[in-house]
Amino acid sequence: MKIRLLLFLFVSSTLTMYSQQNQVTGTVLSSEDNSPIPQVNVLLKGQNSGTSTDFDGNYQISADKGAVLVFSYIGFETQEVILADQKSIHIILEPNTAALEEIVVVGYGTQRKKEVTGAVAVVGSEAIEKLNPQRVEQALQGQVAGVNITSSSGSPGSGANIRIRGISTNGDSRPLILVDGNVIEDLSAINPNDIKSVNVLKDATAGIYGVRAANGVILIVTKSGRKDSPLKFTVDSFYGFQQTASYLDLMKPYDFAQYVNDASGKTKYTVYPETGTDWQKEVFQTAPMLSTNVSASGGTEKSAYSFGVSYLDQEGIVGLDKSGYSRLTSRLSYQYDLTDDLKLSTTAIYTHSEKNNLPENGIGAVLYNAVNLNPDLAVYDQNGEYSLVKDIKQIEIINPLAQIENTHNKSIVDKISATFGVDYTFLENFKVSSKFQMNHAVVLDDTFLPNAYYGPGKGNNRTTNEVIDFGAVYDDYTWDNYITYTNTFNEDHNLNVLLGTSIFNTEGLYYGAIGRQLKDGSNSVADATIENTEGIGSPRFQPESIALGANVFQSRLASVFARFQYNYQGKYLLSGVVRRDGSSKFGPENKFGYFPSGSIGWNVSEEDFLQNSSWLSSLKLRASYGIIGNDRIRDFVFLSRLNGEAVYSSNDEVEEADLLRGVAEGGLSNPEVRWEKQKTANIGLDAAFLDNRINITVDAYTKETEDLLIAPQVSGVLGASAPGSSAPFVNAGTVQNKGLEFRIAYADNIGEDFKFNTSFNISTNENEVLFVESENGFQQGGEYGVGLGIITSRMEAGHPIGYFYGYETDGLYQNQAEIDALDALAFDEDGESIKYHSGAEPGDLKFVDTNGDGKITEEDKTNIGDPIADMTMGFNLGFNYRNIDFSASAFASLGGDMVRDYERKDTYANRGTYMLDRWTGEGTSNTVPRATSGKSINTDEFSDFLVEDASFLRIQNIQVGYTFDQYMIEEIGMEKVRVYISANNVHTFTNYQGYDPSASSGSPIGAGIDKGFYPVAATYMLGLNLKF
Amino acid sequence: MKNIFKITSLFIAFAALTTACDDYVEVEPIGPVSDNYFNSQEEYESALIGAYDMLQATFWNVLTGMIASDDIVAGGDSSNYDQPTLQDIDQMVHTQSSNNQIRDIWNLMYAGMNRANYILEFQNKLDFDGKENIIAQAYFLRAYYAFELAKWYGNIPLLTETRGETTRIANKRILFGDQYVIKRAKDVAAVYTLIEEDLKEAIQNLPVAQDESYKVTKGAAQALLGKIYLYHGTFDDTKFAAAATELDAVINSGAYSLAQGAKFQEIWDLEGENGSGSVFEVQYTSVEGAGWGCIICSEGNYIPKFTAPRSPYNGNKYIAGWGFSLPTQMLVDAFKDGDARKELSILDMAGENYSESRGNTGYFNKKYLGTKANDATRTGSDPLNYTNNYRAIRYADVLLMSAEAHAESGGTKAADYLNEVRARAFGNNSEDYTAAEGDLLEAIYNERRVELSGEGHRFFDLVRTNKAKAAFGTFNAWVATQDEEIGHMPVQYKDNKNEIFPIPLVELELANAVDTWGQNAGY
Repeated sequence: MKIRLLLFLFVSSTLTMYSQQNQVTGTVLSSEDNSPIPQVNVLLKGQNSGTSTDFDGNYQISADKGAVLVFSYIGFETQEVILADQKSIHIILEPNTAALEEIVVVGYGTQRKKEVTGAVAVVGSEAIEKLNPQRVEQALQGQVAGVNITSSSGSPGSGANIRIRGISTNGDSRPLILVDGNVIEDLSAINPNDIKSVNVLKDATAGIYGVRAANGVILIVTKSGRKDSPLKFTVDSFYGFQQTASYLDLMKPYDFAQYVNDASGKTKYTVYPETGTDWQKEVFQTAPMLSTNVSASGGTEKSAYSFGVSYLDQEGIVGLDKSGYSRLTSRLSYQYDLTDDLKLSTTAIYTHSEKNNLPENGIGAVLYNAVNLNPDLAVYDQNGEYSLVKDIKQIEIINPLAQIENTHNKSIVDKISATFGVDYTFLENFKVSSKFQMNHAVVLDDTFLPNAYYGPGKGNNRTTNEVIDFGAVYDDYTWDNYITYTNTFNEDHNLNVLLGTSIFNTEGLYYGAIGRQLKDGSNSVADATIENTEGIGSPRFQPESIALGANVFQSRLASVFARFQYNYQGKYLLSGVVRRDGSSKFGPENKFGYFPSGSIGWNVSEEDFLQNSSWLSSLKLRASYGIIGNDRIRDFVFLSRLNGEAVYSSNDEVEEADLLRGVAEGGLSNPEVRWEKQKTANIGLDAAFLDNRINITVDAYTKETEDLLIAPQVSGVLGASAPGSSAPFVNAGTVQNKGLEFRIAYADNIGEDFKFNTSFNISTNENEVLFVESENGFQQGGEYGVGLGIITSRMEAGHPIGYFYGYETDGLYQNQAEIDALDALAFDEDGESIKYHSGAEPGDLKFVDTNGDGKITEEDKTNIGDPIADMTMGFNLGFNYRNIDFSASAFASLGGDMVRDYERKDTYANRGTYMLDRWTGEGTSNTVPRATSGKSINTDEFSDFLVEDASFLRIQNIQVGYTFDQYMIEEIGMEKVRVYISANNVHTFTNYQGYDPSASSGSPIGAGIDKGFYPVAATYMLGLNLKF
Repeated sequence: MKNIFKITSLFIAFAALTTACDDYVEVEPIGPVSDNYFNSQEEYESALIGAYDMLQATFWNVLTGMIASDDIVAGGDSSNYDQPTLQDIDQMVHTQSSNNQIRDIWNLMYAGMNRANYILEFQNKLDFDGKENIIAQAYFLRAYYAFELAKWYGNIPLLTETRGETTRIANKRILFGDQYVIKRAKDVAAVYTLIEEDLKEAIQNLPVAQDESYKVTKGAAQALLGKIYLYHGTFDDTKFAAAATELDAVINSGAYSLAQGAKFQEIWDLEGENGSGSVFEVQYTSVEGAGWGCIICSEGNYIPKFTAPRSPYNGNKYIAGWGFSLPTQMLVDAFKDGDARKELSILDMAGENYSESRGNTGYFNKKYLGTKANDATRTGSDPLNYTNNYRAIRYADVLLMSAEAHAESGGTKAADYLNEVRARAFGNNSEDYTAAEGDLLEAIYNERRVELSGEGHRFFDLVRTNKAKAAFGTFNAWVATQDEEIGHMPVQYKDNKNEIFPIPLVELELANAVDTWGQNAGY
């Protein structure tokens, strides 16, 4: 049909060249609010001529009868009108909802989704609003296939890890995050309400951003005003409360006492206590939170503006304010057209946040203490003071409530992020742009360590209080300059060429001071300032170490890039990028790298044979391939610097400043270190059916990361164990990620009043290490237990990165005869009789002799799981019925494993109720080993008994809103009034015994070791949205 | 035309920008780079401090060495095995996969060698007065670290080179890549020969007295050389005479003396640090805060907390701690009546209120306990940094080593030196050696046991004198008489295996040396 139309137009335009021209005038209005839209393109189809609407949405154009007028404006459906005899044509443009018309930010420019050839996903502001996140990352979980969000802490304000398409490096796997083109490493500075869209570039087309884009790119666009629109205010506010989403099943005092007697083999308890303390209940509290956001936007003929302020105050479910977080942001976005050709834009975001910190994650953490402290201890002693933990057998376990009270640690961040850009259009097809972005952040970390006594022999006991004030200043800037050439040749050939340079500089400075003993014997946090201490506040860095560069860092990037995008009739799409990146992180020989990528697309549905399809709305096939470089390593690893720890004593110092300070080598150097390269191939399709009601996106990818930059363990003879030293970075391996991503969305109306939308996405990820450049064939990391020196995780060819390396078990030894029979057949290399399984007794875990050498040795350790999920899924459902709207989302992760490592192995440390099913004699259990005290193969060896399946399904969000009818609120000057109730993180279905199966820890080699994560809270909110 | 000009100038500007970019990424690091250092005397001195710094990490060697011996059991908390790897070493059941202390000592001593080698590698870059002294100290430190490695692991891997006619430890750092080519010395005697050469060179240029007490002296180098000759004597008995010569040089220098009377009473106190009997001392201080994040970054000593009685101990002088490293009754019985050293060495807990450690003996090592006085001025985390210096080589040790060397090589001074040590201990000559006492060498060995108890030497003395098997046999017989409840465990010492410790398996793997270096026999 369209082809015929085109043909007709072509013929008619040829014929009408000599015919009479008509003057047509009209106004273009938005269907949203009936306001005029300026700058709407009004073009004569098939001719290189046209005009645009003025400030009042009016246009005037000369055209022949039969000509086709095309009205287009970003964000609205394009309309075509065939000119008959009318003299005026008024147009009402509908905002476009069809996914393919969406504008996608693809780096140094935008594209219509239809023309995109890469794997790009967009999360719009509407989806973000529904999820009510406190952090941007929370809005991505479950929304975008292939994007996985984990966090090592659920405490308010703590960061989240974003992983796009698996873990491709065991170094830094963070994606590049740009907010309005500005590199923002820490998303806590961004108020989710300010975000217009989040664009995720998942494949090699991210290569336009070159360095650091290897882990994917997240482009965040903040809200801006629209030209010639009236001033509008929006207010979004909610109040809510949070509760822990889970409690561990721990033994009650009675069972605990029995267990202790059993474990120690002695009668430690003669009476089994019936009552005691549920330390978890004592520690977890209901914590309030509130958020308010006010923004205003509008525009004049030549300018558009938007500004806003927001405030978030969130207390923690552990310790309330002691782990609380508050954030104040203010934001400004302003565009001004100096002339028709010269446009300026600027944005600024200022953030002030304060976060209180409690010790988390591992021995010494509040939750670790709450989990492990014996449940028969009372919270308070007879004097009403917090109970001391007097039994020395609870090594380093203290009363968590006393600990909370004595913890005073606050991090304060002041950050300003600003961008400034100029676009100059010349010679019609050329545009030159210069964009400058900067961030300046001051981070203060103030700690007061009061004198405290928790019981005999505790490492936290303190008799000299200390004030520790650390600070850091971070500065970076990016300056991008580029020229864009856009043209259409012979109507069908659309070309866009980009040529640009980018430089990036980041630097920082650390400082601080430590003061000891508050004056006048004070132990009060109110007096805790450095100036008010008796001891001279010794600086964090002594002058000598400052001279050695211990307190500063700086690194730079410089890049040149070129991109062309070409399409023929919007049907055949082709795009290529070449980028040359230079990084200060590499030595003179390896500073520069060339990274090409290319992609193709085919809008199949534009072809004749599908033009008339009644069911297929659109279909696009696309493929991409590219190489992206990665330089995320420590600075100057190619040089051997003298910034190691080298302090000795002349034995008569009275002050820290008098110590002998020398030099020693810091991190070991590797002059050969070179770019890590990631090769990504992606094929995908986008399809829409039944008038765009059903949308499907499918992608399949492989990513091979070569020359992986890692700092592996190295031989001790190199001296990397010296204080202040570390292993060198080497290019040492290849990791492959393969996966499939599928997303389907269905939106429809049933009658006038009922609209619904639903979507489901599923991603698989298969991680395999293909090659490790290491003499022993593996790299290792991660640690189990405390002071056991047991390394948990390995990176080794043929296994997923960071797989758990330990003993496989096969039930329990049921009796001595079974052990004796195995011993009888066990011999060492010299033929001497040995124990089959040293240390094993009846009721202990039976390790599997995987190598079949007739004895249990280190060599029997094998792959007993890995922390990487095989599959993640997101579900979203929303509907509107008259004034009521409802939305819900869920996220599932399947196939990841987690190591249960939050239990202290001391006799008097509490255990999970799983220990109630323990072996107590032959035949009593074949899964849970006997209770032991002290050294035991059950607790001191890393076996699959400690590895659990951490698959889960989480109901992330449920929200019900009510929007008041227009007529009810008009009188009070409102345009929109909506109230809602919302619940986040409502419930998690999992078999995992720990607090939070979604948490993650550590670097890729050593992830998934649960040392007692601060769980993500369940949150219930009542909120209000106003627009006026 | 105008357009062409515009476009051309744009491209020229672009090209200029691109070129400028290349210089933009040349960032100069702040602070010195190791290959461009040693440009002044101060820089040599700074690098030397770095080499000294690693001495402070030797608390692991001392503590672990103590526990390896028959005189001291691991201890720790009563029913659990805190530090199970130390318990393993106590029982000699450690394996090549036991990584904690056995690997730390390996890694840290090699790091110490590399820091000394850094100076030696660049020793010829600049000349100035006093350089010889600095270089000589570096040689001493390299020898000290290498000797520790040889004591623990036997014929260690070393880079060597020929200087003059002599094979020497190479004056260069072991750099990345070298770990794959470095070879094990032929045997431990060969390692001793290499270390001896370093010390001979150091002795030539070290002064008898230094301007600061932390610096090694000629006497320290001679004493260490004499000690190594003594160890070497196990394999080559001609070395005993050489040992006697070196140790006599220390004795005859007149630079050292046994502290007597009140001074003797305080040799283990703060006041006794760097005293007249200190030939070489590792300096510790507690003025810098220390944290768990990097224990070896501390300038303090870790042993004092580790070895103090467990709470609720509340002594007058000493802190409470974690109850490791417990002297056995047999050690206590080895002190004769009237021996003042017993009171100075052993903390007898009879009648004291404290938590018993696993394998409680009722005794603690007194020499390196943390004091409450120190606790009051100490900063940082409680357990980590106490100021107690480690008396690495004491004059009493020199006298006894020399006595042993004389006894082994037919020298005449053996009894005199032994008696000098005894006389101080008993306050008179009543306990002088007589033939009635039996073998003189045995008497010297026994004297070492009590004089040097709790200092980490005993295990290595047993090994080099081939007495380990017998000593652990006695120990195991004693264990058999003990109440099982207390938790003493027999030691599974094997000859031709447990004289040295295994190279950690992971270290063999990391150097691709499972086959080339091979594991120590028996592991």
